[in-house]
Amino acid sequence: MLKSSLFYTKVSLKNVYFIVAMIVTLLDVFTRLIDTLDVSIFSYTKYFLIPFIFFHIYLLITSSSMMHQEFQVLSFLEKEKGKKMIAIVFANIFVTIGFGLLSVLIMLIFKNPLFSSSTVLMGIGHFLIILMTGSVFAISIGVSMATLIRNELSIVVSLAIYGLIIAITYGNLSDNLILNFLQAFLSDDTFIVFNEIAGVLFTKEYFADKLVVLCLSVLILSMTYFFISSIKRKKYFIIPTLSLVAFSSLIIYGLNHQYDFYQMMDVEKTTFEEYKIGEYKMQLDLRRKLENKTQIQIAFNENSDTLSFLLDSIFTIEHVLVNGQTVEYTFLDNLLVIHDYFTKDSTVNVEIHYRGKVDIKKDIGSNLFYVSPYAINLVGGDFYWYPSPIMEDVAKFDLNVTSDAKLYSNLPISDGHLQGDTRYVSIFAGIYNEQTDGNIRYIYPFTMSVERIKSTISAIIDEYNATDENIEVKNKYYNQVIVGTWPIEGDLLKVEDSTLYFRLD
Amino acid sequence: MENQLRVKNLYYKVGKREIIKNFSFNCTNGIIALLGNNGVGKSTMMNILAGILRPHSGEVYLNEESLLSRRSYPIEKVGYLPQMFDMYNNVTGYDFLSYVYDVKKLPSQDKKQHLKQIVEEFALQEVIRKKIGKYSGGYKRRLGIAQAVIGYPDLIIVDEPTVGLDPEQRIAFRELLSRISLHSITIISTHIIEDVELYSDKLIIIGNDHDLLFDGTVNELIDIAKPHLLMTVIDKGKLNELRDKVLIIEEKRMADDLIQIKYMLHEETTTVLDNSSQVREVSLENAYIYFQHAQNL
Repeated sequence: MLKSSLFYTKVSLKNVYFIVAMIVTLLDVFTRLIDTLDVSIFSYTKYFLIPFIFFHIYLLITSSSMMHQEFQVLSFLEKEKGKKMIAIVFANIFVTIGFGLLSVLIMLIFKNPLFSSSTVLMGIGHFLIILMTGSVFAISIGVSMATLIRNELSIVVSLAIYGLIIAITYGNLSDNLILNFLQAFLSDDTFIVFNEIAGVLFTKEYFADKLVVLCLSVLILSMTYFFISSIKRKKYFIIPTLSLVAFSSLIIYGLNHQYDFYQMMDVEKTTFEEYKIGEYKMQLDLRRKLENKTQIQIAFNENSDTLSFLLDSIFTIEHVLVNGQTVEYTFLDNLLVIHDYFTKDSTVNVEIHYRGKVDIKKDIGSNLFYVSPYAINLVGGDFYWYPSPIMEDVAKFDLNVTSDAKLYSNLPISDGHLQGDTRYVSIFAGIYNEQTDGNIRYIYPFTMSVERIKSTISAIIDEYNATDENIEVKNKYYNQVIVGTWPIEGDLLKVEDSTLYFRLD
Repeated sequence: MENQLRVKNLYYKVGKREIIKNFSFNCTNGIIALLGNNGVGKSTMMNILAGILRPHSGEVYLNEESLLSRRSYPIEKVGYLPQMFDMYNNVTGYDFLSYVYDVKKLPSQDKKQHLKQIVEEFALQEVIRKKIGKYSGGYKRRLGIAQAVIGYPDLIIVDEPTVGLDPEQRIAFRELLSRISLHSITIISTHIIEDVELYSDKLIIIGNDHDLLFDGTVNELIDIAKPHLLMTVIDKGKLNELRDKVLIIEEKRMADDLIQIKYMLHEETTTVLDNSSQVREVSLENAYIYFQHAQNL
């Protein structure tokens, strides 16, 4: 089989469409894409759209053309048409691997040397996943159409199907996995504003929608094999059956699954008890999900039989203790209400243990709030990632954070220990560059520069000068600038303690 | 090495239509010509021998080893050149020969030397690194037979070997076949009698009823036909009149509006023309036409 595949690899490579695909790719790489490697290894894949499409077209044409052409001498040598089909599939996969390796080489040569090795590895992994998924899908369309139609028309039909899929899926991501899966042969972020700080989050959904496409491809190929194979053995049913089961399961999973999109909380209508938070102590795990065991010291200003916090509904609460005792609570619509009797002027110690996957997207589909091994964006005040009162006063915070990523925050950090007084705690991690300019430390994505950040801040300050807003910004009451993402409704700049947050648009 | 092919009771049908009926023959090294009218099942027979089609019943033994009951057909022992030899235009001749060598699972250490030998043997040096799409008809046919000979198989099956070749290429191709048949059984299917007459060691004729009509040498076929063939010279003007009376199998124009004709003498045909004599030099074509007509009478 390997020898046959190598022969078909030669047939595939010595093809004018391959030359066209390579010329287009190299032209696009050296006139445009190479620049993206300086700012983001992930943007390279995002903007690789035209080479991807040309490469897919080449695969569609060549696999369809090789499959529909029948030669008696090959029928004699290969005997089984199914074998020829498998050889053609593998041949085009070999070509895809070669194409991928060439692209990886370009990525490695021209990438920004400041990127960490894990970022580069993830960028390359992402590129290869997208390349392989799309290619296998294109090959399966080409081969199956050629088997069914058995003449040159199969090339036209294959291209039409591919064009139709591109047309259907062109546009923003949907909140439903199923509606997105056909887009998996291009990068998910092809049509949306990309968050360069987060890069690509390798979430369950990310792999699920690639798996749907792969299962669909295997299903198409195995059905085609079954269709053309002259010998029908029982074992031939195994692969199509398994791929059908996997495909169906993923479809069912997808139909029941929606992405979490950010929705602004309407907290105005909620009545909160009068209490004051003295101190937060948190044991925070930010490796894959967010898990937090937080202890909050609260002083009551009135008698109450409830205690309310804002906490995002994406979390699942493990337990709530008041002064070490389990209490009843309700948790609905981002509101956690603890039911117990709290007396005026008393101080209680509340322990809340909760966890959850944080992957909230903007309405256009790009990553907004997230926790992953490599990238974290938890913006206090905008996203209630820890139990918060409606109007937060300055409180004492003491956080022990476990994370694989390098963390940034408005609180001082030392060995994963964050401590200080503030109204809202924010934690960031991701593909950041760092630079100190004067007394100010800038933490920003590679797509930006300190000069650009400074000039943007100056321009905004000029606008603010007309009003009395943002005194802190105007008077440079900060020694750290962190670029992060938060909802578009928020200010472009805001100061928390001695940190200036700069919104990435 | 003397190879042996035994074909035993082959039977093949498509739907209710019988294409090959209980066909049996034996042969050894040399050129074996498979003759028959169009549609009698020559190509089907070749495809069965090449393992492309499976018969409904019967067996084929090559050197006492069954070709049909084996789990995988021994392609390393068989070479096959189809009537319409073609290949992907964008691969070179060498790529293709190399693939055939690999698919036949021949020893990889001998590959380079063996392919070099084959290329030289078939005088393909000039074109072997060129894409097959750029080959002339003659070179393509030569490449076709070269691939069939790779590994020097025991059995070589060639379907309509000289179709589409000009006279010079035909002669060269026949010589090639003669050479390779010294060490293998070479079965050619053809309707060009000239191909058979000059080079074949054995003839197998498939009758219009899809069964075996003749199995023997060229001379044996001629000897059978000879007593039934007469010749005479007639006026050109009488030719059409005579056609109704006798079965003319050859006409040869002579001077002064005279025509020499060869015709069949059959038990049912009592007419013997004036001045008729026994045909002294019966060609294979005469004998073959006699056979074809005789089976219909």
